[in-house]
Amino acid sequence: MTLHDGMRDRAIERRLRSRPALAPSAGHRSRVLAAVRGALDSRPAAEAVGRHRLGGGGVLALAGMAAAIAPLLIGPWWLSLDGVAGGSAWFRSPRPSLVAHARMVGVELPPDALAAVAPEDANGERRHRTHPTAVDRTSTAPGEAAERWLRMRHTLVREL
Amino acid sequence: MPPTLAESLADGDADAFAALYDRLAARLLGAARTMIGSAADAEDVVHDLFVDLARGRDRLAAVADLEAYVFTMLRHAVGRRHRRAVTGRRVLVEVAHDRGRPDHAAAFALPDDELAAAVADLPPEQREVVALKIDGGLTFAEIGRVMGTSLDTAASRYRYALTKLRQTLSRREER
Repeated sequence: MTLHDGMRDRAIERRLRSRPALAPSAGHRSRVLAAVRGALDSRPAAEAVGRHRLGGGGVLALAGMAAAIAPLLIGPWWLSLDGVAGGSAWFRSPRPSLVAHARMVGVELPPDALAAVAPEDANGERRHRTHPTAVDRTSTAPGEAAERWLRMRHTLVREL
Repeated sequence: MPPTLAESLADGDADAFAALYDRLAARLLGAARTMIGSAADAEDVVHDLFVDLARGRDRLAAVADLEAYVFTMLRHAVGRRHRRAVTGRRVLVEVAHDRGRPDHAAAFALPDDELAAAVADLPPEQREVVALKIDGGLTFAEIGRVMGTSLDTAASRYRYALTKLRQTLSRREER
């Protein structure tokens, strides 16, 4: 922008400011203030009306609703926390890769130990749900599964 | 300590609304005219603005900058009116076109005053800044609050507006 442009901008600004002010037309003020009074009269202020407060029944109803909704809100969290705990146990436990590694170094684990690691389902297929909790869930005798699991670990420790 | 104007307005004091009108009406009307391009429409907008203020007066007690708040409401009211006018104009132009009289559209042309026409040609944001600065008498900081922008953005838009006005008026002078 040149100096000339700046001077022209100032001239335009002066021209804008020198436009005649827009005075309200006759009666505009009274019309506006009459409409304002109408609005003030038609809707009292919030303080005059009084704020809505809950009575004893309302509080009881709200508490009942909260109690009814709570299981729906908390349940999924509870289940997910359980899933997290199970997941962390799975990470801490030996997995089929351990069994495979044992075979690679010539250690044959007892068949029941393998079953504890990857139990068969009803179709005879190995399932890869291998942490103790999973075994316990699929076994008809949770104590046996735990015992097999301990035996497998003992064998691994001895052989490796 | 006497209540502030905003507190009196919030209390529903009709005299406070009269005082606000006396203080701001001319500036509000000027700014609305620049934004809309019509003195009659500007009066309607200011009328509706005061009614809206009276209806929503509960909020006024918490307002720190009353002028900026009122001009913000003015800007929103103009925006609503502009959207309605665009829709109405489109319908009328379509009607005129259907009747084979496209000159009906000329009835909605801008005022023939050179400067007013140039202002009307500005992009809406720049026209609003000019209206708030020249007619509303607001500072760039206040304009920034009204438009929800920074002070620098408001000042830049004003500078761009002056540049565009200069270019538009120069082109018209050359013709």
